[in-house]
Amino acid sequence: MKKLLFLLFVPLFSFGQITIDQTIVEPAPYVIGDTITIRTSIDTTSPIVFFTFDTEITNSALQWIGSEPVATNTNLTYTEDHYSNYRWSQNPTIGVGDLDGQYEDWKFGPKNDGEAQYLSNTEYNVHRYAFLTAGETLNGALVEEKFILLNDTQNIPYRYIHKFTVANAKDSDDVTYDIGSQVLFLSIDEADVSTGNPLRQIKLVPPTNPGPGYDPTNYTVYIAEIISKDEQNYTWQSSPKVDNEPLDANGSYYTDKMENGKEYEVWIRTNEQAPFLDQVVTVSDVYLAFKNVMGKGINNEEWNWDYGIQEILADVYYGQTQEEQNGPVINEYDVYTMFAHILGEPLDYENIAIAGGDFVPTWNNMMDRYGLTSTDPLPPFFLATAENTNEIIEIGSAIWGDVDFSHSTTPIAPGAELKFNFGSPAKGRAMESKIVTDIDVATTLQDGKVVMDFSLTKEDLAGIQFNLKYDTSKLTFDSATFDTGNEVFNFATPKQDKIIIGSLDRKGTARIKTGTPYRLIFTPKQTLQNTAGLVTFELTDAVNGNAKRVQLNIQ
Amino acid sequence: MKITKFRIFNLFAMLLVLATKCTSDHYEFEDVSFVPQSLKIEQVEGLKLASMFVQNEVAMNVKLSSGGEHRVKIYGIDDKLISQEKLTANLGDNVLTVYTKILPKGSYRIELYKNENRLGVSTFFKN
Repeated sequence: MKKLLFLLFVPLFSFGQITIDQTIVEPAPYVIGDTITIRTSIDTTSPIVFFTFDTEITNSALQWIGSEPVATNTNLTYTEDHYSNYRWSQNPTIGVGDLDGQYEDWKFGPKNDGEAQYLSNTEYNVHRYAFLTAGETLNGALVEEKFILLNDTQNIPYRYIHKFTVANAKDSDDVTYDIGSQVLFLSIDEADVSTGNPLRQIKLVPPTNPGPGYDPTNYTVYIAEIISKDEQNYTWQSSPKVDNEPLDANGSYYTDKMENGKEYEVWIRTNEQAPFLDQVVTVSDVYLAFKNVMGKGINNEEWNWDYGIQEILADVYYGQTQEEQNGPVINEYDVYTMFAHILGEPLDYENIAIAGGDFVPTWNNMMDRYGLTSTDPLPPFFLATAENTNEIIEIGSAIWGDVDFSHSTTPIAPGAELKFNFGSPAKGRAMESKIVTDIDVATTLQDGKVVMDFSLTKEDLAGIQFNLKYDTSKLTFDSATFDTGNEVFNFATPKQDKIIIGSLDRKGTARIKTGTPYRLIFTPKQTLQNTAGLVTFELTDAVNGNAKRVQLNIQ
Repeated sequence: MKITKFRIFNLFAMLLVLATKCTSDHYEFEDVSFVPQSLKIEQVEGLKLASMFVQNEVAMNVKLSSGGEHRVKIYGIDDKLISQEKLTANLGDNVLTVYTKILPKGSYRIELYKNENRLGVSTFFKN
């Protein structure tokens, strides 16, 4: 029996293999809200000078605060990168604990099989660490990560909350080594966690299909206690704020400042400096608005909104006399304002509700009321009681102009969806579109110029938009040429180190010609041998003739 | 005719002049470009960066076993293509540059392709 046990506990790796392990520095028991430290170490006799590894964190259990390298090597180069809302999809034919094998498979790129790659998932984050010495061997403790322990809502709380996914080690001759782990998945025994003073969780419900750059850490939550309210006249008074804090990568905020028996207003705000703001309103939004606001009757479609709130989000311009007298009116002023926003035109933000001014106008409410446009316009009130202490306070939020919900919550409340033709759903479903097509975009050196060509084979596109960034220390933007046919409106707007280029059909019938619709030309500021990395893609967006979003995969 | 030492010397001198005049003045040198040790690639083709940790730019060796159009592609962690170059380089080693100044902080994968065939891959970290 002893022999059998011995065989079972013999490490599952060969001699010379590197072992990576993780441990919680603070001993159990824990209280929700505690700060815990997870230390990652390696054990090796191999002369490795480079080591990188990834961890996957369960957002419902851990809220990351910060990381600190603890490797003691001199002349250590260290980097950490944190990616919100990704989950590792392993290659099942390679052992899950074969960390270097998984790394090599990831490194060789996706094979369109969903394996050995990171996929979007709002329940998880990925942290990547890398260490390089000037020749000394890496060994022992590498990094410590600090987390706040949350009230985990998984079916089995605190199970597999911190996982190694891939790792790679090299010596000074670039020789790689096998890497395994004895604690691949870190868990905490639920019995070791007590609630203490329970924290209430406020959660922003993410978009159904998050658009480019969406990141909940660019939102804050504002909480104030209601002192009095008049539901008939939609007025209320509240105390000075009790909280105004950023959301974590899971879109959540945890607070102990809400007392049972008291009512609060809870708002989610989008930061004015959020990097994704110029990717919220794009051609797919504007085309949808053209079809539904100005173009009623185009293609025999008189109405294409899916939810009533889309009509309100399209009302971005409210400076007209007509509007001041008669209330909200959605017309060509609104649509052309959205279009001008894409083109980077200077806008009168005094009279415009669209991301890009001094504030980001949003529509908020509790999910059971979010999106109701006629029956319950009251703000997001929440009455704290002993019974709902452990309930997640889910809030929906939409940004004005974002009519395709790329960076906004899709409503689920009964009554939020528009129904026509005796109760059948609306026609649009633009935000749920899964149309995907490839496009070839690349830079090349031609006669001393840097040329970027766009090769399109997909037909039936009514709008395309690319937001590009270029290295202004190396390039000067010269010109853009178009070969899109004669019916669509083309645009190319340079803004500092960015260029917004694309086309939009404003009639509802024209389409972008296939072939090479766009060419950008830059002049180098110095002699160049090649162009790799000089121009990058920040946003691609497209919409077809039926106002459905089309995902462009650059090949 | 008596062969004297002087005549032998003259004969060699004439042969030397003839040999010199008959030699082509077109010299062929082997095209050898300097490749730093950090960029040397053992295989017949591939891609290698001078450093895995980069700031504004990093040297890259693209080693090719055939001519024609090749592509250098840069991917983010989610496998989305961030930047792409089409280049026509020489057979053998080509020491080029990857410009990384405008890339956000993060880790990236860079790949070398000919048509659909991946010839090389490397990773780097932008600080």
